Amino acid sequence: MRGLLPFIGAIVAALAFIGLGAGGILPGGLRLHVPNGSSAAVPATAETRGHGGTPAPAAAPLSLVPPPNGSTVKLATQAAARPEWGYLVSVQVTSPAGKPVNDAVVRFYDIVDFFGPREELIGSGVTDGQGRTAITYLPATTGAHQIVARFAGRDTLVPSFGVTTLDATVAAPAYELDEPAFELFFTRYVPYAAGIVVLAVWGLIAFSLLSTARGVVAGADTTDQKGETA
Amino acid sequence: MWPIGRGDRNFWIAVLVLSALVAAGLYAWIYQIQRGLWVTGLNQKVSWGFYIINCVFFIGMSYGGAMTSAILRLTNAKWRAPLTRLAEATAVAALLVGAIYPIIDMGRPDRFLNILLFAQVGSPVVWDVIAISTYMVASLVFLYLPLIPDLATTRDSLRMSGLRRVYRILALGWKGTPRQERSLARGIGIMAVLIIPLAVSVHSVLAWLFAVTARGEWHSTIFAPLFVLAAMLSGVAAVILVVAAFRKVYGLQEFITAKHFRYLSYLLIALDLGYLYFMVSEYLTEGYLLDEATAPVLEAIFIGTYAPAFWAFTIAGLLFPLVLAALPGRHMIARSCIASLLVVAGMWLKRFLIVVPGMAEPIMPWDWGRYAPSWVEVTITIGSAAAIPLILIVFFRFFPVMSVHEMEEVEGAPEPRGVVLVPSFAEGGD
Amino acid sequence: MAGPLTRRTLLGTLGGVGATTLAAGWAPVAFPRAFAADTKPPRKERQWAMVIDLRKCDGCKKCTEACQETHHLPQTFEWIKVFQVKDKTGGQYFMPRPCFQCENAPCLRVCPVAATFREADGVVLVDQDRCIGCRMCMAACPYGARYFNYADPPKYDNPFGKATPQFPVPQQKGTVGKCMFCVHRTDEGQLPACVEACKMFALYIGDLVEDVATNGNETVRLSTFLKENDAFRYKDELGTSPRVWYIAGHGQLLDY
Repeated sequence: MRGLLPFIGAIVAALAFIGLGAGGILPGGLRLHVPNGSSAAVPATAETRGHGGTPAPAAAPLSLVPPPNGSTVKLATQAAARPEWGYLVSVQVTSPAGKPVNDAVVRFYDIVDFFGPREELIGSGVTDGQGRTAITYLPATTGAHQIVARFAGRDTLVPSFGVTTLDATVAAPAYELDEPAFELFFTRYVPYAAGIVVLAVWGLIAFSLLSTARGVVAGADTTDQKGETA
Repeated sequence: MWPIGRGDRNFWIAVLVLSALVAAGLYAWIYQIQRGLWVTGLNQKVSWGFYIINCVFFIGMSYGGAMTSAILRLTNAKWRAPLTRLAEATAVAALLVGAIYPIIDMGRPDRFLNILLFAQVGSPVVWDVIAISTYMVASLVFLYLPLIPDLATTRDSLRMSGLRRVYRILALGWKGTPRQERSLARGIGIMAVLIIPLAVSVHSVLAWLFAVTARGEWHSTIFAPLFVLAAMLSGVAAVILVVAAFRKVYGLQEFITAKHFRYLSYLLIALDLGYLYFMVSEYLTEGYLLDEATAPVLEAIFIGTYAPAFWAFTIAGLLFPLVLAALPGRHMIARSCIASLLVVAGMWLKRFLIVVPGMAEPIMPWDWGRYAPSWVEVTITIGSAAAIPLILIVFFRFFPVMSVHEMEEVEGAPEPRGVVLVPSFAEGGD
Repeated sequence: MAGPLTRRTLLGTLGGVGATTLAAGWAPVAFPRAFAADTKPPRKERQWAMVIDLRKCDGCKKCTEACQETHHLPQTFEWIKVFQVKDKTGGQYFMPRPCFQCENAPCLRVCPVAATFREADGVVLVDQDRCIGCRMCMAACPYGARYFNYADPPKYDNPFGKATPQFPVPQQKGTVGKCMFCVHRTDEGQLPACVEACKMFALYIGDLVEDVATNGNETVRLSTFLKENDAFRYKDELGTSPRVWYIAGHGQLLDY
């Protein structure tokens, strides 16, 4: 018995060590987590927001009437020098007095239907001595686009804008989803191949069990027997 | 129904105590099903906890069967003969308990059939279900086939006619004829070969459940071999403990000697060293580079929050048992039992160290998650741990604790006597 | 076919046809998600994306509140979560994180029952009638964007009938929920709740097909906006292809 003492001591020490380890795994020591089932609800103040059962009201079309005493903003579109650039949208700004406006900041917008009609900024430019500036624009989709060029106004000139329709027959390449073909290798092909192996394994298990059973049952009829072990 | 051997007070006490613990675990589980998973200590950051740890742990413990029965059979290690039945039964018991845990962990266990109806082959969870169920069936078959001759032998010493009929049906009319021997040998041989890759696949799939995610601690290529080796280690340790316990209680000292424990300890040492090697390989590779993904976890494990658990596991659960088992000298059985106990406890800690820091690590610019189990999780753990010895005790009340047939076929084994054939809860001295 | 039409032949053929039809019809019923995720969208109407301007976010968390109100979520559910991040120079900034609706989503790959699926417009949804609550998706998401209903969510009688993956309100206990870019609102031409609620106009909802994005106030060309502002995606070295871009910049003043 005395010979076992060191071993008992070893067990105690080791278990104590593990106990410390277990204590260490629980933040705050060996205290259990006390669960409470309360799922504190967000105070419901606002009315039910957006199941989207009621569609957004049809937005009023953007008012595209230029101010009466504003500068004239004349837009023109044509195909750009290179087809991959799309279209050249050029503008000329002339003051109400008929003089070209230079150094005018002109912002170009495409009217899109995105959560209602909105003006999407597609570029901007500063007019030169003849009041001209231009941008290239390759739209994302073909079809009719309403282009608006807005002049923000300067000194005595009030903000003004011009509108034109661009019939786009070229557009930017369509968006492509990122779906690497190799993705399917380990999520489809290899599992299916493994599945065939699994079926074979099940077959082998069944074979092992059934053939043994059959062999034992059938083999019981033979006359040359071994005596039952006492 | 009376047991086969004589009823024994110790047996009933053990069964009662263990059943009480299992019942407590069941109560906790029902409590959780009624209320929902909020009764656990899980939260939005650490959404996997004790249940997944226990799943990996108990399924790992079932590898003793594959190791002892299958691998030793294929390598023709004759000393395995008295151990195989105990090992296989332990494997089945541990597997049954471990395989329930994914269901305990599910948020909607009532929808379990969805996995079968809508199975997605790309999901590691589906791989898990397939692997575990295949392995369970194979283990049951692997337990049953060598049992056939013993069933035939025990059948005749039974008093109860009802039980006798069951045995007779299960024994399939075994008489020991050469043809039957050949069939049986072939069946067992196939299963022994099958069960090894199946065992490897189960824990590999469990490892991939973690390793295919983008968490720093988990996304490691060595996870599958690491898990498999860990399972074999804990399985052999479990076998040592079960064999020692039943040896003492059933008085099998003549058949299972210190030699068996020494050889099992050799297995334990080899697996322990292998596991240490894998650990060093993983931590060295990550720790040398210390990239953003792995640095926080390594720090937490080696010197941070989880350091006590990690060093307890390494020193008390891996290194000390190694020394203990490797020392020459006396008290081999006691030493290997202590070593196995420490290994098993250490392995649970290691599974904890894999699951919880991996979930708690800051994958976004937020603080580390925290996790402490609730009484529900602890109770279910204790109940499930008690279920394994309960299953084993009840199983060996009805079936012989050693495979007589295998002992006969292996020369040099002592002739099994009546005490083995009539299973009972004998008291024996050391 | 030679010979008279025997009863056996007829029954056999009918049985074969019936069995084949049953099998062929059963597969898409049993695997609707697999079939949906398999095929490319037949026509690309929208491919939703978001841009978050970190220069403007002031960490007020009105987006989180609006999302929780809209979907009747408990406090712990932050489908869009605002992180407070210390940058390397010692300053700090705020980073809202919705679900990134990754094109190469890990959550989609690991779901055992395909309860998580992607719709044609690129939004990843959760079918809470099918989810078994295994939480594998939560382990797999590198951004922590999924939330598990451990308890019953706050009581709410959905006046629009049954909860759907597009509008999963009320949430189901034991299943996983996450941000879905408010498809129930965008399908009806309303901005997502968080985009509408952001008073700094830091959140943009965009469409990769029409190449446009708006924060409710301004509308920009998405690709140009991203390129000019050096927009980046969070942790995209993981190969997830997120649909949310961030514009970096910490507290810089903007001259609009």
